[in-house]
Amino acid sequence: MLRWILGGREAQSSGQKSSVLCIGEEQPKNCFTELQVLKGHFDIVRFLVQIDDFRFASAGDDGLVLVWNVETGERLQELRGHSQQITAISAFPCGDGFTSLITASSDRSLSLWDPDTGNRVQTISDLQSSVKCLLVLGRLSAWLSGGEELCVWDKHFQLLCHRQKHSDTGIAALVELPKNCVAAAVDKEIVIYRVTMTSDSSVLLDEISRCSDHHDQIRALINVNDGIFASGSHAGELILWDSANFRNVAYEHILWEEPHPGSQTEIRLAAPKPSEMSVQHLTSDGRLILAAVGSGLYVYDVVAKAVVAYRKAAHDSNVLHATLLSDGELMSCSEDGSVRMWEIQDLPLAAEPASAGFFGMWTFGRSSKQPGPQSKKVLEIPNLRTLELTGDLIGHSGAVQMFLSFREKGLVTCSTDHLLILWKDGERQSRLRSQALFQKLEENGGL
Amino acid sequence: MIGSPDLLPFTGSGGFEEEGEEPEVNTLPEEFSVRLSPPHNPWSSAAQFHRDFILVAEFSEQVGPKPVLTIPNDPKVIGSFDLNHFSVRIMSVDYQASGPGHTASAPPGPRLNFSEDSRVILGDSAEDSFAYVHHLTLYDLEARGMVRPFCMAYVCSDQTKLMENFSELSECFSQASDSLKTGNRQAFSSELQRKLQELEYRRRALLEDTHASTGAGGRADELEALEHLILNHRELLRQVTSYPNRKLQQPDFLPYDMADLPSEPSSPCLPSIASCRSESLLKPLEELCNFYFLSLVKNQLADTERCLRGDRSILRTAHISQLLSRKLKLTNFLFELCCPVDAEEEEEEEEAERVLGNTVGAVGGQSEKHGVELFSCVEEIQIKMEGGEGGRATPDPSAFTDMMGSVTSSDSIEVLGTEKSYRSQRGAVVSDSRETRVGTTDVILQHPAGDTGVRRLRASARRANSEDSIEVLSTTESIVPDDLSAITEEEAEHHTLTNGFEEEEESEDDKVLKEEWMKNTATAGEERAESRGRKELLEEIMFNVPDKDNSLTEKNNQVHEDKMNKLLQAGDTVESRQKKSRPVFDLPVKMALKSVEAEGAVRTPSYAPLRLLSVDEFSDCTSFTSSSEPPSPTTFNLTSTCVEKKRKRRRAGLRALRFIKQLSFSQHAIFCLLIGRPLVIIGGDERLVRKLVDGLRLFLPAPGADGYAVMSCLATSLQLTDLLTWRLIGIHSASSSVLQSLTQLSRYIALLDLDQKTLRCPSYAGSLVGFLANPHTGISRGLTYLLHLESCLTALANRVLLQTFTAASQLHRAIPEEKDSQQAQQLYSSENDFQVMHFLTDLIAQRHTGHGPPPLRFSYSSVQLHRNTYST
Repeated sequence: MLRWILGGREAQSSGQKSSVLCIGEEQPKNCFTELQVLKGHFDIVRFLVQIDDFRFASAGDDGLVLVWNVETGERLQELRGHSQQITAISAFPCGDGFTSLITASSDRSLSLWDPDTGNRVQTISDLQSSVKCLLVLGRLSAWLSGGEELCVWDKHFQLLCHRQKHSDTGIAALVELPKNCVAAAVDKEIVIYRVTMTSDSSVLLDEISRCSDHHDQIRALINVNDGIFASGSHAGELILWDSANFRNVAYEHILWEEPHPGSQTEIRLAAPKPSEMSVQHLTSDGRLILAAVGSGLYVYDVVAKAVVAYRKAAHDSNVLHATLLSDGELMSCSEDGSVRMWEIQDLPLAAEPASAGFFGMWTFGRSSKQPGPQSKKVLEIPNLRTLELTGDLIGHSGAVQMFLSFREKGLVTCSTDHLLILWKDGERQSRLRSQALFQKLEENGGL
Repeated sequence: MIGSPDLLPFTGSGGFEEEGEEPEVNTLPEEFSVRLSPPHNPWSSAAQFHRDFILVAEFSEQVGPKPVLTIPNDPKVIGSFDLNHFSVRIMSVDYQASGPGHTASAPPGPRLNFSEDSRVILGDSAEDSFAYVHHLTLYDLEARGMVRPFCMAYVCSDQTKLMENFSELSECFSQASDSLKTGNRQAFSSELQRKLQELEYRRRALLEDTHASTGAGGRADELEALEHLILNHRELLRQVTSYPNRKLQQPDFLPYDMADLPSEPSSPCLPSIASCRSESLLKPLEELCNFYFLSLVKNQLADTERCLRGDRSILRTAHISQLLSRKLKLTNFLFELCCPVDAEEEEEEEEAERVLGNTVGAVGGQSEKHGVELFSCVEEIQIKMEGGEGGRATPDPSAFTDMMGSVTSSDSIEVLGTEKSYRSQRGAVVSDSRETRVGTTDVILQHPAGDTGVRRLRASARRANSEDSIEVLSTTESIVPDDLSAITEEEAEHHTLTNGFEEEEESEDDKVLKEEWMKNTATAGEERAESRGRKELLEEIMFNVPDKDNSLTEKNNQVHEDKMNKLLQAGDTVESRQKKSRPVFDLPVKMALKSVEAEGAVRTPSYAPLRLLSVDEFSDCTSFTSSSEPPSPTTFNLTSTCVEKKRKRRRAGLRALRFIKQLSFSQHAIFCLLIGRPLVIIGGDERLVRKLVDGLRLFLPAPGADGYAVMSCLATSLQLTDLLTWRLIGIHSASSSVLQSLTQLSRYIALLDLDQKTLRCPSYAGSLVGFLANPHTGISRGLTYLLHLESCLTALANRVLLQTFTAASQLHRAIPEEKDSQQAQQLYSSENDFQVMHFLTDLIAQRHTGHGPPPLRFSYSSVQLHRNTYST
């Protein structure tokens, strides 16, 4: 039925929200008026990686990696080799504008692909465990693979360094920090390593710090800017860290319901649906952090150290991926199968809807663990702005796992329904086609 | 009656003044769209038959020329025309021309004379009865000279029509004649085998007798005679069975499989059969020709008759528009304005044109010569005819005849033209089609084995003749008689079923839309609905039948793949390469090409119910049911003739007209189709849904080959990918999952609910759709509306073409041309109209430059729920 109108369970609890989310069919700000369906995968498509201006790769549970042309929608290459699902994929710039692809799969192998020819250039199999995340260190022209163990590889797929397993869960995320440091999210902790190249070109990995302020498993780890990186946990905690001294800069706990008078631990344990406040995805443009928490979206200002805009029920279901575009525009995709476009707008003069979500705000470190009183409401926060829905893209019949924006060239979405959809500006496309037609006319001297 | 010798000029006014001779004005075929009015109308003729028909006649040994069968076999068509008399005339002309004529220089023993067919046009202008006559001979062991002269004649009241369509007639009749003779050779050789066995048996008996009673002289003589007879028969058998081998080199030749011959019976036949036959009558046609081939011939002739139905102007217009539309490659895909021609043929046409272009200088006499060779290439003896010259040099003097119009044995009938004379005068008669014909004959010259399909270009433009594919394939064991009998029953049932209501349907046509369209009909309507639904079901079943046959399916698939490839890569060079590599080895390539045509019909089940075989003038219906023998079902199934398509389009026109007149929101729906917003029609009554889909497909831009953008009946829930394929979708049973999928995709579709009579889609305001679909026109007939719509759509396509390139050039040069846009503004007033233009121009650009998967254009516009405000 009209899911986006009737809304999900959150919307039912808050009728006002759902009426705001009903954008209807008139979406003047939505420029995506043409779509192409890219078929080729036969299982869930989970990853999209941009290769260059016009190419991208998609990968998923069928173990296939497909390279596409975003301008035409044509499939350029089919990279076959993995026997099981792809767990991580990364573009690997090799210099001279040439980009390779590194893939990791559940079949415990790593491969390096040439997207121009479709050849598997390098491959390593029989790893001890499957790799969960990849991090390319451009400066060192090396790359790291994280799983139960952490390995450093050079561009020729030679193992440079290797650290044994950290915990049962292994490394969930890797991020590069200044001064050749690397942060790895391991369960509830962030472990900081320093990568040092020795004179004989071997590499050392030294653990230099452990940050353990999170109370639940870390789900997301990103670089915000040169000085700050951020992490989000399953319990809805968002912590900003100083990239230099690895100290906790700010601690934001996003809650669904009013905070219980008990401790954080209690809430965590009592929370019936922890996924509803789990930080699924973080993204940042250096000043703002966009956090996908449950089915909501929260924009956090790093400078003001406060949430400046939010939408508690941005989607009917968990948000899986979100991006900050330019000019205060956001985009998010969700398990409900839709992609939504938002705009951070100043609040109208009229009062903000009173039924806003609740948060607990703590602005300083560990001391702020006491739950805030009821009075800490949204309205009291200065400069709070609103997220306005400007458009939505409906087409997938399953959860939209990820999307990749090519700016004016279009937007690719991938989904559990095995499809990729290429969304484009219909006006632009039709203009391009018209030009192409004329060009063809000139070349052929008639059709 | 044909009375006096007729050597009068054809411009005689006699015909125009005898208007009273039409006994039943009401039964006039409907193509005479202007009703006959008693005084001085140009459509009346002195002809005693009411419509063109095909007559098969025989020169019988016992009673002389006599009619054997007519197509259609309907007294309403033939009227008071004296078939016997006419048979006498047409047979007497040519009996001498291509008669038995034994060769003098033959080696000892009998010799089969594989004589040429001959084609002449005969006429009796006083009676306004003209005929294209195709003479042929069949073999019969008991007949005199073992030859049975037959002729097939297309009888027509318009001489010019015959002249104009000579090549097509010749084409079709040659084909039918080939089939007939192939079947006859088969029957003849099995007869010979039987006879041989009988003789052998007698010889053995005689030998035993001689041994027993030790030699009387008379016995020895008898034995000798018998052995001579056996030798003779063996020689005959050798000749007739070796004929196919000799002819195999010819691309046109349809071989029959020797394995198909009845296996030799274990005991010799009773000798009485032959002897008593010879005393009484000769075999009827049914025994002269194998059943399968005979039904094939009848189908071919019936097809020919249907193809050439209508008066000259209709045929000519159809032909010309067909030719023109094929050349308009930029826009001809936009709307299905004519019967779609197979891409295959189109490409061949292109090739033909190319070759024509290359050799146009040298066409003249040379190509004419070859053309003649083609038209008479059916038989063993190649008749060479020097282009432009009168004479023919044939190796067989007995076959030599000059058919230049002087051979008239009957004083009262004149030979108006032969293929020879036709050729020399055709420049004057059919100037428009000359180019093509010359071109095609030339192609044959260059691709003697591969491109026979080209030859029938002109013919197939009006008629997708697909029987040949099955003809060849089925001569193996593939067609099991049991299989066929089952189908035949279904077929018969189907015809009886349809017969009842078609009349009514047709008359409803005239009763200006008073009949049921929705559920508010009387119970009678529902009954009809039921029976029709059943009919469609049956048709679908019939359609699937050929798939059982493995060899056929395989072949079809193969060819289909080829076709798909071809569609994908339009490049001509690739095309020709594929043609060479096509894995049809010893079959003439023509068959493969033909099966491609059939493929379209077999492949798309959505087409099956649309091919309303019996939906035509009810005279068709009656002729069908009253014909003594149902045509071979297999050939019938695969035939998707152009005639049926035309008929289907006329139906569609009527349905579209009803839609426009009965539902107030029709313009919104048509607007959605024209801007590429997929239209989904849901309804509880599958038949109604299908009918409406049929009607609305006329408006669908770029329906694609075989209408692949149309889905008549979708059973599964709708996916986004479906919207990229289909832009007109019918959904019959709306389950909750289907409804949910519709709701999810409601942004992209327009939803027409037939039960509720509502339409959910953006509103339309403008003038463009009003031209196409004005509910207040006085048009009340489907055909009229179809013509109106076609002209509107053509105009629209032209304007779109103009806009496409002015827009492109403006973009390119960055010089805005205000004048043009202003002009356009006047014609198309609203934003919505521009949307239509925009979508159509984009379609053109997309088609000619597109890469990658097809895009779906949509817009974020508000959707309204439109209700029907017309009272019903």
